[in-house]
Amino acid sequence: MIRDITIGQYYPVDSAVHRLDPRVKLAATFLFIIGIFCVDNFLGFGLAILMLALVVKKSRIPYSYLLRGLKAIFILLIFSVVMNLLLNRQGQPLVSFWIITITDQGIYTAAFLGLRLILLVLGSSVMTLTTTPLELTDGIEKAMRPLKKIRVPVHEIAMMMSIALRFIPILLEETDKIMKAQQARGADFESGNLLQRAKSMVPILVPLFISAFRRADDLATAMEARCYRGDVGRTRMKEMIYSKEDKIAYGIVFLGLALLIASRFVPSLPEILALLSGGAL
Amino acid sequence: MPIEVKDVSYLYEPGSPFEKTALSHVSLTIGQGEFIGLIGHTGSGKSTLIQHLNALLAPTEGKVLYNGQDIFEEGAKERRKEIRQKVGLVFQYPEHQLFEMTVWKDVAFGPTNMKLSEEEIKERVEWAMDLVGLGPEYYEKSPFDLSGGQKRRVAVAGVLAMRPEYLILDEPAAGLDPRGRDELFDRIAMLRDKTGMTVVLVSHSMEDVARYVDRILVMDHGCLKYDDTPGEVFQHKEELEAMGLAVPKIAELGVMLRRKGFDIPKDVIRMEEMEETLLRLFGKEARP
Repeated sequence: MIRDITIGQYYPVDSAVHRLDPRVKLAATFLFIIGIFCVDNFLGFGLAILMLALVVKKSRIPYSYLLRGLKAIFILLIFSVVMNLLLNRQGQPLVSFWIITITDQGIYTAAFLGLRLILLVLGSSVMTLTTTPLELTDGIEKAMRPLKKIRVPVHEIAMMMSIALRFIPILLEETDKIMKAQQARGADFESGNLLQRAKSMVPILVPLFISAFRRADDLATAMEARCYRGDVGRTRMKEMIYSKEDKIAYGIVFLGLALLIASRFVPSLPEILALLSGGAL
Repeated sequence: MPIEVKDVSYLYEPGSPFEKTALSHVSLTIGQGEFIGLIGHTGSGKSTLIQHLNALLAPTEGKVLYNGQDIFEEGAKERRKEIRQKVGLVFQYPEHQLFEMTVWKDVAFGPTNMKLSEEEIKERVEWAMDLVGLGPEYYEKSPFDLSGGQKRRVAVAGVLAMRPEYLILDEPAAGLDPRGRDELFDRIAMLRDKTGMTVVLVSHSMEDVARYVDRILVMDHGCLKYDDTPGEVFQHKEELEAMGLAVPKIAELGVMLRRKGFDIPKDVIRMEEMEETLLRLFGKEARP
């Protein structure tokens, strides 16, 4: 049950996207997000969806698996779309009864907001699905390296991130195990009122905290035993160096961003018609 | 009241790239009063199997019957709760689930969940603590101040206090030193003699459980490979070794001598019996 949480879980297949340098994927995700906030018409969104679909195809992640990640934001999505639909009072009113007024402008903003949210989640999911947490934090560390000059503890931040990410599945598994062990002793987490339910969490939380502290302690000892002393003088087995594919990928990413921005300036169909009829006069 | 496992299969995370078959078409019956060893290599599906026996996992396919009734039927939630009390499951490293302020309260957690009377709880906790060999001086201690072996005994007492008909222990000796291990197994054997409970010992080590149990189940890659008396199972020495399981030394000696044509009964697997048998066969003149 608790194991079914899949947000941001690495999807282990081999593909061109999986093999890219994590920095490329970070930059691509960042620029894609900028791109979808620049876009302001359906042509642009069409383009963005097409680009995402092509990347997903190349990454060999099944579309259905990717879309499953949307379940987590489903309520947020519905809520924000409906709110926009109902509260936006600009433009031509299309439907109007009681206190509800739906305008054409409202439909547009709601649709754009929904699409943006979906693309945002899917775009960043593609990154986490194709990049292991370790690669990701290594990428962040390397990309943020210049900040070290102004005394930002880049390595420490990256190390904390990777440890935190690494411990999520472990703690989930641990929780599952403790829940089962307490259930085997007759614990009931599902019935009773709010207070009783909160109380029934104690037999899970106490052992979970103890185990988290124990693991943290073990980890610290293990790191010290292997002479961990921060990033000073640390070498890596896998040096991050841009390959030809990475450079090509950068080119594609910037081309994509340019296309998304350019889509703003393509006139919509009514505007074209207006221009044409204007020109004919 | 037997537990019957009928053609049970279990998949972890079906439909995802992490899908894994943990059990495939396992069938077996556990009768009352039996003393069983469930043996398999790490990842062979033994832990998954035992979680089916007390309704913590529902099979992907197949049925688990307790007293002839399907425990995963729709609306059988109350029955499943009852079964968890009847089938006591002690997980691996059970000391990690201790959480109460005192040993007493922790052991009383199970009986309290069963909504028993105050006196009944008291009686059961004292009975369980006595069975695991911890006296009244431990009642008011914090479980976190105890040694590793004592914590484990408290955790086992926590399950025993529910007075289960079946007691399943997953790798009860993991992480204990040889003396702690022998003490624990002797205690379990004694406990079974005293209470007549059905006991299932789960282990990856034949050596540990062979001398205690009457029946051995061998799991490999999610399949039940053997289900027989220890003596019979050990005759498949090569197949067991191929699964990464070692046959106890004494049993191995017996198998090798049998194959050379000596008359060693299959069920001779304990040191004392083997000594006796060997003396009977060749020993008379060798003895001073």
